[in-house]
Amino acid sequence: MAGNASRWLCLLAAVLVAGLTAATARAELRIDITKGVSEPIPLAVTDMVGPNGEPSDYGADISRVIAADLERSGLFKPIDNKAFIQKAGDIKTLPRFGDWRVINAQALVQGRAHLVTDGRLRVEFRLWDVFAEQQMVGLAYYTIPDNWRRVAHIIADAIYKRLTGESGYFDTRIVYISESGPPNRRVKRLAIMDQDGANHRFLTDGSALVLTPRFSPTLQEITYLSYYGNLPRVYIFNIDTGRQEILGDFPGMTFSPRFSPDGKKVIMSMAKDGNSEIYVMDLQTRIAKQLTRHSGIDTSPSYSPDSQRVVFNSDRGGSQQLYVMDADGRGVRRISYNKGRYATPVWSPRGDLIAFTKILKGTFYIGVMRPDGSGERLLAKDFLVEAPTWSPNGRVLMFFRQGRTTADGKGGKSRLWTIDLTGHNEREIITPVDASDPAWSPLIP
Amino acid sequence: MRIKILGILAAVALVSACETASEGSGKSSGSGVANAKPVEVYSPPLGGSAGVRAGSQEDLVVNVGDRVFFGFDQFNLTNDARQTLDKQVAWLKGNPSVTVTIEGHADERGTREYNLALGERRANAVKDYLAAMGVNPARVKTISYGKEKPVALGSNEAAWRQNRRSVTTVGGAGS
Amino acid sequence: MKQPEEKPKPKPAFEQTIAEALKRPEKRHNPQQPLSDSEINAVRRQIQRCWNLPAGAKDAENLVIEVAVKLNRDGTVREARVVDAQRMHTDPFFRTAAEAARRAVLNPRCNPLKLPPEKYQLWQQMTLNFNPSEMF
Repeated sequence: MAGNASRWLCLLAAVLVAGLTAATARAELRIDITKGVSEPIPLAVTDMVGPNGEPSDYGADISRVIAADLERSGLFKPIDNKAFIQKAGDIKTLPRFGDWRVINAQALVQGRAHLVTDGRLRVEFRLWDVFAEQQMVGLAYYTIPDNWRRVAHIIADAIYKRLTGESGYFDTRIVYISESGPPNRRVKRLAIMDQDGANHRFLTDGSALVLTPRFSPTLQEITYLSYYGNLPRVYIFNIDTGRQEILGDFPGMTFSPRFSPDGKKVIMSMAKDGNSEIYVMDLQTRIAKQLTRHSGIDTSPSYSPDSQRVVFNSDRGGSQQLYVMDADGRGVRRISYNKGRYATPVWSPRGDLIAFTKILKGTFYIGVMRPDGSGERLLAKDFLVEAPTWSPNGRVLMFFRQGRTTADGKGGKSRLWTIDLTGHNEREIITPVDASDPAWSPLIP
Repeated sequence: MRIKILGILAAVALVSACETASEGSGKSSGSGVANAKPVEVYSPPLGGSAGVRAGSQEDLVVNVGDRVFFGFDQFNLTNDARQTLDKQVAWLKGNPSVTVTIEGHADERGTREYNLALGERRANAVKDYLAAMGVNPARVKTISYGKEKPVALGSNEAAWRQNRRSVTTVGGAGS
Repeated sequence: MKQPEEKPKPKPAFEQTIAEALKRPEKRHNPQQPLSDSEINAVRRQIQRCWNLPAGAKDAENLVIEVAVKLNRDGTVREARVVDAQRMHTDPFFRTAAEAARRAVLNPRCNPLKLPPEKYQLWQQMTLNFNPSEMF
């Protein structure tokens, strides 16, 4: 964490303007504070205890997952338990705030976790503002004991939301492509895991090439490209039932699928006679509508969260660039104008930004720009980084990074990474084997 | 295009003038043309060196040439590509019962979805050429693999040049 | 650094007042003099070290927070109150930003504020105006 902390820019800067109004007799002193720092908030996450303040196995595990979630976000710095003066303590009594101030804990998490008579797990937590000596939030949950990790993520989300004002993203999952074997005989499988890498499982057996999975925003469904039967087509996979279903009966390759924000449509590319155009299919009526008509490549469509617009990738202007059109296909306008080729646009769930992959002079970048193309910022770069996907709160991007391959097929390691929208806190997500094409789920309903 | 059959295993280095290949990285190495440019190796099925069955994939590879190469982010056919395809046209006319699938491929220096579209374009550029030269398009299917199935390993220009290709395969799936 | 108690009480700070005053002989002669720019800048620098902005938050640059502060004579904070308390209840982003500003004022690492005790009547109450627009 020290390395990370040092990467947080100290934004403290020289003072500019004195905000003092002329000191008349009754004039109240006003001072403008115009600079601050941006660093993880130190907080204490104590081990949750049993009903009588005794240690609790569930409690310790839950607290560990909460602290790990908060730490990984880069916005919080859980303080090492060894530094605690007041040990866990029960939530029935007020914390000794002075003890927490001394170790610079600005917030304090306490809780209880225990099995109740009907066999369910009861988990209760309190979040305290240490300086103001106030409870910020306190909630209790009942669940089956096997669900303890989810409860921990839900609590971490509640803490994150209370302290940042934004929704969390810890109670989420990642679907991605698990890769194994040499580059020319790669086996690719759909795989799913919690956002912290736990509860990993494979969804397909690797017999058919699969690519580019994306979550439904509303259902436990994934849309993806499968080469089943050597016919590359868009499929829908139901996570609960394991059922795979081809989407539509198209004469050519369908690919680059993505759900609409309401989950009722899938927008994708269809290639016919070599020309890729964008289509949208209503999942209820199964009627597909063509949105683009151009001899250039049109692919990688992504809806704005209000469903009014679509950003997509096209080389109609001579090179790969980003374009925005109205949801009915009208009003196409190019938005990327800087140097380089642009690809894989994805509209942020909060609407304010579009993430993309950019290729410039042999280097790949992950970046963001506003929907009008202004304010481009590049967040990550490497030999190959690709396929950004947003956390459901629009705060974090996940992507994959692939290394160079040697002539004898070594290297080429492909892994998932996350980075904060600020460009800080870049971290690898640990997967059992190589990984690519991540897609972040919405908050689990 | 010249063809060399080298060694007992008959590894074949397909050498095109524009995408000059020189050396096999596979089972036997072919010393080759002047510079150390990319490698193109095809290993026919074991035991295939004796009699090549007319109209088979092996026949296509050994006697005609199964692939053509493209420039970076390009799908137009070069003169060399057209020379190869002219031979394929003749071969297809000589083997009228054969159907083929054109695979379109891209190098690793593009994004996945765009490369799928680009591979589709390359495959169709070949199909269109074959059709223009009189091959019944109903005999020709296409499939794009984008950057998913490189033939040459290594993150270097030589490998990328070999991977920007279309491959004509006998039978095969596709649409 | 001394940690304030839960409810810091004003301390008899006569000795400290004298000591501070002796450090600044040039200012002792006129306690009615307004606070100088350098005195105000010192406060500003102190608070800014503890103002941890929620970086990357949506529209964070538009959240200006006023905190009314009451100070003890030794520069410790007796009370820090977000002026627009009503909005704390209705706007979670405002509440987050307001609480961050309040933490900056209450953080024991950034107070007592270094202000001249002889001008206590000028600074015993002040409003700190947290404006992050220059940060973005």
